[in-house]
Amino acid sequence: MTPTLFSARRIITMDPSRPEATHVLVSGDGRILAVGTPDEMGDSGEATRDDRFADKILMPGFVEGHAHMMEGSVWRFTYLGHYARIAPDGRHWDGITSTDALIARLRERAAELGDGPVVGWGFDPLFVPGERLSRLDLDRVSTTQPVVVLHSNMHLLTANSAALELAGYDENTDVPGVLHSADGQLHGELHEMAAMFPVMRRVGASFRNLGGDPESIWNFARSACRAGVTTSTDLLNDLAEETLADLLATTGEDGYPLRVVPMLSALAMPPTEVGPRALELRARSTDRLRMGGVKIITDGSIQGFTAQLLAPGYYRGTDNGIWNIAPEALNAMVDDLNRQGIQMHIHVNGDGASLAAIEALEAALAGHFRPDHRHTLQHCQMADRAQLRRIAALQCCVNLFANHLYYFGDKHYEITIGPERACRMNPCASALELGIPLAIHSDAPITPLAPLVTAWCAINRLTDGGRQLGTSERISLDQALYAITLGAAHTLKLDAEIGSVEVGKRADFAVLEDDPHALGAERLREVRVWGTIFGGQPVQTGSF
Amino acid sequence: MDAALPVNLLCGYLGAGKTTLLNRLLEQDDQRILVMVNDFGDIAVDATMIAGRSAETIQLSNGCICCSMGGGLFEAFERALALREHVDRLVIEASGVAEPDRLANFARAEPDLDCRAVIAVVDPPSLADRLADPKIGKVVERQIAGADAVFLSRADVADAAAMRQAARLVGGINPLASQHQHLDGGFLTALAARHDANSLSAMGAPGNHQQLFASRTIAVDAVPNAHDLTALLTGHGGAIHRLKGYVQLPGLTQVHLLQLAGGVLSLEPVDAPEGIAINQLVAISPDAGALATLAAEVAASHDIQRRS
Repeated sequence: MTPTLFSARRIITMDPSRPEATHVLVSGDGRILAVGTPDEMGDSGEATRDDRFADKILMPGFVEGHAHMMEGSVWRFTYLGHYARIAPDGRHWDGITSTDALIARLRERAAELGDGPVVGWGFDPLFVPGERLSRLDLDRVSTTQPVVVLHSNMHLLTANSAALELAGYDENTDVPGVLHSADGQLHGELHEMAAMFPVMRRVGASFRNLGGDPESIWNFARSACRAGVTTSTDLLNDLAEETLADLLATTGEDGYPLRVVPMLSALAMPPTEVGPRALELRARSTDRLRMGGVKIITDGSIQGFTAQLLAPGYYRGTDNGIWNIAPEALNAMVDDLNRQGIQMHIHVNGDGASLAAIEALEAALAGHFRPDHRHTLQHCQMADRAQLRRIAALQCCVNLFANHLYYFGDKHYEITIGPERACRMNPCASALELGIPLAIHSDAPITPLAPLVTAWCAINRLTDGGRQLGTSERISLDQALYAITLGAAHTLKLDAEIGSVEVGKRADFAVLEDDPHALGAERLREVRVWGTIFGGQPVQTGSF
Repeated sequence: MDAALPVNLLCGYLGAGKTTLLNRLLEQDDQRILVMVNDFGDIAVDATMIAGRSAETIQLSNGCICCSMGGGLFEAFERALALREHVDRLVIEASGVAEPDRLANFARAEPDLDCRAVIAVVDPPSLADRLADPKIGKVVERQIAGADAVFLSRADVADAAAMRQAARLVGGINPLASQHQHLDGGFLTALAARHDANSLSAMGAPGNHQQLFASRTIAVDAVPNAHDLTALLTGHGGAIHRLKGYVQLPGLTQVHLLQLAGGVLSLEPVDAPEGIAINQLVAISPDAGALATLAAEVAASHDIQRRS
């Protein structure tokens, strides 16, 4: 196959020895052969010239270090979120700002479906004025079809009368989480999984079905392409053989334009089996499916009040902190996996959880130090500088949840953790100052998959309400662009292959209509994405 | 349609003795028990041993059984319910960090499940240290607070002082829960009883859920005698949902356990846990007014005694 010579208005390489270029020569098997000016393309005489990007900006393909395959599957339900959002199929969904708009959208869906349950997702009552959404509102959608609205935090839902009846709920139901109105009738809102389960199983809306079937795997790539992402994690996967077969087959199909990095859930099997399974998966990796890493979830979420916080705990609200793994079991697991040379991604939201992980890693690494282990603390939203110093000493990486600053920042400031801790949460600047390798992430579908928006969040630290969450933890535009390319690649041990435009690396690019440096830090999130080049093949948004 | 499947939850921190208890239960009980294990993280799990004796074992992935985003809880319950006609009872061995009230809510909300007693298993020698541990103290406390019955493991090997201290700690956290040290008839009876979520939540921190029941502690040390007290309580049997306390009153030769449950009042001689409050009754009712009336009548009987 002949090489291709791409020209661009500007190529931002992330390679300090040649930060900018206008041309890149790509081999037929998708590797970069040359980067520079037209004169520096070497033996490109027989190359196919491709000038379609002559007025566009190329960057290294973005790397999403913490997202979930569910981004590809949740769209089978009807989007009802506050923020406008684009589905993998390219459909633009307006944000829902009123109960009437929500009813109208669900009615449309109910009519499409004929009978069968209508399920919506992403709803957030805090953003909808007036009375809180109830059973009676949803009865306006249908009195015969079950209608279920999942809230954005996935811990609440609102059901119509038909759905509640399916679950056997009535005015006499006395179960925590099944809400009643002042008149004693069912309200329709159900809190937490226990109360939600009887409805969800009867309308076929279980999270279990939101896994990685082939269509979801393709949808995941569609969402990624729209965001300029060429490598994305699926940060929690049980990777059972059945799941793995789908992943291998689908990512192996011609033209599948995404490198998927699933992390094996350490809690999906007995501890003694995790290490051998991770090593086996590593050996079965392909170019487009990179396995071998392990994910360990320790606590819950800050906005759900289930994260483990150190004193003084939550600012307002009840502490419902949970452990998904007992601290002692965490110590044993971290030690065991570290000895076996397996890279760990440890979910820690609250500072109590990050402390537990730090202590586990200190013990494990003191017993068995591995150079360049790259164990990564995921989210790590509340670590203070004292914890960051210990993380730096351990030579661990952090992948901070920068999107939280915008999407949940006001709530953190006013309710969950209060002003002081909200203004230093997701401490990107401190991490860099202390020399900790930094990535930033979306946790899609919790927030939208869009690394340039994530970068904008880390740079500006502005909330949805326009509040600035401290200024000292802001990072520069170039630091943020590094975090969504080489920084994230580093946390996946893929930085030798991807993350920058350099000779020998994979020809993965984000293709942008606008120049991030020209638009500048404040407007970075407005940068339009044309699509990607994956392994040398241009892939336009919406073309597949 | 089959009757709802009775479910017992077995909670307890790592090393508390849940698996040992479960295995002994499977040896003794002639019911067909379906076991759901959510405890990969435990150090001494012997899933094969469990599997050998029960009708079937469902291995549930570890982790957040409470919110189950990735835990497969849906699938596990679906499988359990699909086996309904082959089993008499489902016993869930929860993970060491699972909290019983969250778990029990699944069984309470699902009409196809019938939530029976929640059992907390504790390891007496280590209990005080566990409760004082800044990381997991709250978890262990909530496990005990949310249980209908508490099983104190290792009664055969632990020293008596440790057993007494553990019993006192448990009684302080959850005065309503029955305490057991052996897998005897008393324990099996407790296991078969309905989960009494209302009483337990009335004991807990207010504002957690909709607070439907109220609780009140009533001192009875100045009641003239045991007979007067039981007569007085019998008069309130309809309004009081649950009542429990250790009493030593004139007319009784030793400490007795006084209980009102399911409308039945019982008074039995027991060895009270050392250090447990005597002559303090915990009463639970959906009607706070009924509790106030009861307390007032008890207080009035004090006055009668004082005057006489």
